[in-house]
Amino acid sequence: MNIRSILLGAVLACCVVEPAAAQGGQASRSPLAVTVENRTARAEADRGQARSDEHARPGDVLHYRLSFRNPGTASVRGVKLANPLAAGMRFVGGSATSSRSDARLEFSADGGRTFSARPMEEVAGERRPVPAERYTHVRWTIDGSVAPGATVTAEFDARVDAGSAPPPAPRGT
Amino acid sequence: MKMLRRALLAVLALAPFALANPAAAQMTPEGTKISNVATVDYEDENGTEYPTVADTVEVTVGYLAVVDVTGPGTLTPNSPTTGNTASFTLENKGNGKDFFNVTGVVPGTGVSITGYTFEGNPYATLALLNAAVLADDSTAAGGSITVGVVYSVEEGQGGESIAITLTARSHRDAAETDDDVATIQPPDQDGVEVTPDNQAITRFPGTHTETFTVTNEGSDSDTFTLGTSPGPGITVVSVTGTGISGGSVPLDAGESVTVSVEYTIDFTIAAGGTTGIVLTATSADDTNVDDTGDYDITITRPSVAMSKGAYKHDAVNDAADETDPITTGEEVLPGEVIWYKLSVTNNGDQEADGVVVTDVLPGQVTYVSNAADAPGWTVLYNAGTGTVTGTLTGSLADGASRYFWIKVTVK
Repeated sequence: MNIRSILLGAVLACCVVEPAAAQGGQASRSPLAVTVENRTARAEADRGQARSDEHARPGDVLHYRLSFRNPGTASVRGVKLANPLAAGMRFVGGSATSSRSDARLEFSADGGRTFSARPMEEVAGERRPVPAERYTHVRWTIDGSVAPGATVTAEFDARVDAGSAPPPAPRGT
Repeated sequence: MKMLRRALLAVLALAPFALANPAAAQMTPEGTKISNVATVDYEDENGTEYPTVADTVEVTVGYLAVVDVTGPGTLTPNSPTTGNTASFTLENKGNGKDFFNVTGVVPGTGVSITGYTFEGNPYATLALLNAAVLADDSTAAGGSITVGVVYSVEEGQGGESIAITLTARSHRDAAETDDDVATIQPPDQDGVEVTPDNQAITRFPGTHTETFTVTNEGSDSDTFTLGTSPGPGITVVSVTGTGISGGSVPLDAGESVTVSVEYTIDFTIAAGGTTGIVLTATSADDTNVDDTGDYDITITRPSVAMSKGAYKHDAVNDAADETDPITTGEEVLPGEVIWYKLSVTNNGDQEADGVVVTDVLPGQVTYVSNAADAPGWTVLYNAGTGTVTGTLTGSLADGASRYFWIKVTVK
């Protein structure tokens, strides 16, 4: 397991963080790498409103990218990429994608006990979809095999909790 | 103020994300480290599961300044007034400690800012206020401070709506500002004052002019109807003054006009008697609003009474015998000398000038001569008309009496 502390602003030029282990060569490379990009900071920088600090702010939308590479010499199957939403993060509905068309996308709204493509709940005797911002987990299950050296990516957006206040308006607009 | 604007901007600018997180949760505090842990599970073609692999990225949450200024809403001080206070709440809705800086307080026309208050202390300028705010403890996320704006309302603002706009910013992020307004709506008050009140004066009978001052004490312009109430013996001739037309005068708030009331005092009131004249001004905006001014007039005047008596002749002294008046019905004889005494007495409280006594002698007597009580009388006889005229030189003082004699013979 690779654990890294990432300062987003330090890498705003690309706004993508790569696993440190990726620099260590094929033998030591982890099959899973997670990167994060601050979409809000990127948008501000594109407008010439680059931030003076390196931190995310409440309301910022962060783009997470999970990359699994089959490190072996044989195909693997049953690949499940899972990502619990970190405390303080709110899933952005409709943002989850995958590089594989055979990836089944599922969510959990109960802390990972159950998963479904569309979590439901009963409110006042009526069943209705759970709002996406209350999702606790997102998971991709690849139905097919992943060839040796092949890579599967999965991506989603989450917003840094801004509390009851709406997210701050972008500067300079 | 801030919340509505932010909400609208957020919907427009972050449409894909704006509906996220409607739950009433706390804003992520500054310094929070958000660790995102992803895992992957897989197995080989033989069904052998490989150990779960995890990877983590961590994001540190920085400071987001959110200043929310909330004004006091609508305030209703009178116009004019001073020393009013509008309280603004400056709330730190950011995710960390911050100070506030009041960057501007802008009053609308009719209101002037005279100072500020913070934590019960007065400050004359914004600079002093901000220094005091900075010297205080920082405001934690979710906390707030209250700033008072001391203001005066000028005259004539009744019924107006005047904004005081306060703008504040984050001390840590100067680009984060917010503002809100206090809406000053002085009530439209009507008021009028007429002076003088119970002004004591003394006047002779005749024509006089007294002046009153009518002032619009209301908070807005108004028109005032002028009416007079003359006392006994007084007749109002005219009511004049700048702007007065048809018995009314328009006045701005605080404006005054001098009203001249010309009047006559007749002779029906004795000296020392009292009368008066009242001027009433009534608001056209509210006829229940009026005021009166009045002069209490004491009549001062001479009051000359005249009497005429007849007396027997004192032959020894060739003068009237004042001890022997001729009473009504008493007989006199042809050729007898008798004396008429014509007396004038000033019963008033002012000396009388130009006293002239005229007496037409009866046809049954013949004028002989006259005699005065003292120097000052000029007594002439007109034989053609049989008239005796006595003119008193100088004044007849109040309370004084003078007389002269006319000597005649009975035909």
